Amino acid sequence: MNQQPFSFILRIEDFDLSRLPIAADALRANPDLLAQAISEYYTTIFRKLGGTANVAVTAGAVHVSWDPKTGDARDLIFERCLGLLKQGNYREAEPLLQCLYARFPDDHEVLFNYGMMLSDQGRLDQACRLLERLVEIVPDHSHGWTALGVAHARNRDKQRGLAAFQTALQLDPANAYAMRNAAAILAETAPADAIPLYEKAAKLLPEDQRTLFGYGACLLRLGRQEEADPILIKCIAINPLSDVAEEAKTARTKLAHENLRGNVAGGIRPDVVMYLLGAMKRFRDLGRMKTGTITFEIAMLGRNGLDINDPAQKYTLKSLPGKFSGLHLVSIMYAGMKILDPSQNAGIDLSREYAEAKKLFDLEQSHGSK
Amino acid sequence: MSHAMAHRMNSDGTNQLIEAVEKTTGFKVIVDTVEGISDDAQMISARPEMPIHSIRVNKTKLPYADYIVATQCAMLIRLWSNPKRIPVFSPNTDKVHFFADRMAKSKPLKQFPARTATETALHLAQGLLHQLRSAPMEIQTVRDCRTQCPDLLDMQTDSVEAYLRLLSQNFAPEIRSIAPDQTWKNSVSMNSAYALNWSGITGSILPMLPYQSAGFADIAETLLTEISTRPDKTSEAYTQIVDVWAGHLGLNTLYKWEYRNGLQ
Repeated sequence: MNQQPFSFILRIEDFDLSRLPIAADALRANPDLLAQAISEYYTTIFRKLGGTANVAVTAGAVHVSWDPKTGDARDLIFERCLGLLKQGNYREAEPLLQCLYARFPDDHEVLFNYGMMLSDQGRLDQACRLLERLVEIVPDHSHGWTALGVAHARNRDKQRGLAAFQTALQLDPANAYAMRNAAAILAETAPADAIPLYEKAAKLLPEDQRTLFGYGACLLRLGRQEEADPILIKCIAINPLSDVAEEAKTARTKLAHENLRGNVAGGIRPDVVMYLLGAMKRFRDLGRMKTGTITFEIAMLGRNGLDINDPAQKYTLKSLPGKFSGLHLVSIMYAGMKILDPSQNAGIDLSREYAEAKKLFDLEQSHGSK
Repeated sequence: MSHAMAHRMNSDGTNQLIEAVEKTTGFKVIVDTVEGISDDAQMISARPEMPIHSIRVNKTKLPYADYIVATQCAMLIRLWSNPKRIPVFSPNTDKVHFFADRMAKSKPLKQFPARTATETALHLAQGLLHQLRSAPMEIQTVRDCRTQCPDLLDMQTDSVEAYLRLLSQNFAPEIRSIAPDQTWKNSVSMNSAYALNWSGITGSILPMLPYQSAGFADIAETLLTEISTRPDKTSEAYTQIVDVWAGHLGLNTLYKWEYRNGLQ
């Protein structure tokens, strides 16, 4: 038990000013404001933990002393850290972990959590140092080896990363994160070897976007497009507004392009030209308002994906009579967006077909006017 | 295909706000991504030829997408409280130019060639009006999201504090030295209200420290009180707040309100 008040000293120049809601330039220009802000920052943090805290800023350093009155200071701070990390509140957890590490540099829980946080923040050399120390102290820490592997991989040392993941898997064959990360490295040079790992990881982590994207991308690399596409769709659906979803969307767009162009050896699709031309004529007659209604009804329908490779006319719209194939609807939407808001992303590049259709449309218009 | 269109967000609070927008305005909300903009998002509210509200989140801000969409929806709910009378902030061009010309002759800008001074002054005047139009609504939506999206508290904290850092760059010597005095004071006054609002929400004086030390505590209190005394989530309350803020800051001749019918 550590009954002493928890205290530490931090040089102001080592304080990360980006933790404060005040611009660093403004703080550097005003030393009194800087001292006041740092003092208030630590006072607020330790006030939340209860007990009494004393914070003083003198001679370029912050002196913090916290007395919890009851309980063990290390455990109280660490529990608070874990609570914050579970909430994803790294911003508040980080200074507490930094304090703990300063006082308890060989505490394996602190090394693991602080090391992972540093890795997530891109402070990779420091992260590797802490995590290497962790696996030195606790060599059977499978998750520690995984975290170390991630830090190495992020630090562009793939070989050491892979070795760490393999050690993690030897210690715990069901470690899904080690599987996923090992697979990601293998996929770059030997995608076929990565597939069994991805398969198992995807079963263990069915809602993990990164796993699904890696799995889908790996299948694409092997030319197994039909298997890849539903996995990428699922990856996007988990959180459509995320960086991983953006990568999956890009992969799917590329895939759709390859399929679209594959049928005509990379040339222009005449059926798409005709669909676009028909849509242009229709929109000319209907006006902008109706154009908007049709375009955005297709866009709403397309949120769940339109199958552009199936020629069956299996879609209907409320705003337009008839049955349509997926490619036909995408073409109508593309033409509509060109009229309403050319900056909108239709999710597919039909620009070559559109240019051809526009030529035909303009030709017909000029004949009509003559 | 057309996977660019998304709808269901991760946050329950955000989804409820999206539903509230759709119910209040009668138009669907489409959420999408966009790149190459400096703002958090680009929002285009419904109009006859585009019968949807389009919210496009900056691709560099995707980790905050739920919060960004929530704030945009909170704005829509207020602006569209009466869909037949949606306020549109419209600068009085002649008066803005006159204001800018006068600013161009002020001390920090006089040192530049006349054309540069005029262009800079006009840019600053337009920026000030943009701030007048948006700052009260930003404060209101911070409050709305605090109460309606409890699952976004951490995301909101990150987002608001990053914004506070940006706003407080006004205190950096290189900014202070080139900004005309009255413009700088007007801008910082509005920022101080934003900081005071966040101080009140979080119970921390940190955001207010630079404003207090520069003597903006009173104006912050005055401006924020004008918002707190008009708690209605209506476009009328919003336009009244902008008008009283403009009165406090001496900007009330520079714009007028126009209204459009969102249902036509």
